[in-house]
Amino acid sequence: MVNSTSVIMLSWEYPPRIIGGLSAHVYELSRSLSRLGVKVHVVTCDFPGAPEYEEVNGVSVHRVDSYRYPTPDFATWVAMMNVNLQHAAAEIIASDRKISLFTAMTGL
Amino acid sequence: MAYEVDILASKISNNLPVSVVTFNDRAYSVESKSHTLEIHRVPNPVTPHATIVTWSVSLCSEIERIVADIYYAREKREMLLDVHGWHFIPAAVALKKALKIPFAFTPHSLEEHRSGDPSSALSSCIRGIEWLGLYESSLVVVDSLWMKEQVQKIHSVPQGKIKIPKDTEELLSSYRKILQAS
Repeated sequence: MVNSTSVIMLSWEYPPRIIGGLSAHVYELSRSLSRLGVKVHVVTCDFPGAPEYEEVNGVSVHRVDSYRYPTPDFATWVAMMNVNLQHAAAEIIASDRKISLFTAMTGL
Repeated sequence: MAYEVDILASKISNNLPVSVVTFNDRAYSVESKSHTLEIHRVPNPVTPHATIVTWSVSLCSEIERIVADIYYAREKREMLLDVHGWHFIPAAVALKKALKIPFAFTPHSLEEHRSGDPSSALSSCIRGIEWLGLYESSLVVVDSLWMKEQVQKIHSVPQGKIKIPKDTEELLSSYRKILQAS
């Protein structure tokens, strides 16, 4: 069961983007799941100097341009960040049909 | 736009099964207009909204779910979306990327023309969504030479991608070309 499971984690924070405790939580959870044989994709916001894609302890990390569109306020920025993250996740779904679970980390 | 889509859907449904998926501020409903034309009216799952963009994005999550349900109910038979206006572009792009459903984009107007302040952050965001639709779509449908020139001038869309169909038959022919190429 575990070996055939793929998970997409949507999180606006992932190292090196560290705002609160979410970043460390997603980092540890994703690598622990990966150690158990689960294929984990983390889809997260970009960060200056961090690559658009990298493998971290077996976890595929996809960083998405979260400021692609100008936005007038925080709620609209969150909405558009979700659009950008969702489109990246949709491409992962199309290439990895074994995705069995999404985890949305925090209410953003 | 609503009247135009109504006429277009009625005409196209003489040749193909058509599902119109639109907004409704009441409960979700499906109306069968004929054996080839059905109307899905979809409410927004989230209220209230900070801006028209947050309204659009949260409604898009429901639109995606309804369109995906239609796609699976038709056993994944070939399908094309024709998106009217920018509001459902985020949904169309997600459906294209996840399920490989191609789409045509019919902008009836552009933010540049509608907004009193096209350089504001909100208008720039809407313009960005319009650009996304123009870029990710397989075909851009407009109803005048003026609009074609505006789409080219404002968003730098290649001329060959923009069509002004003279009738429903020509539009259907463009739909078929997209499906053959996908």
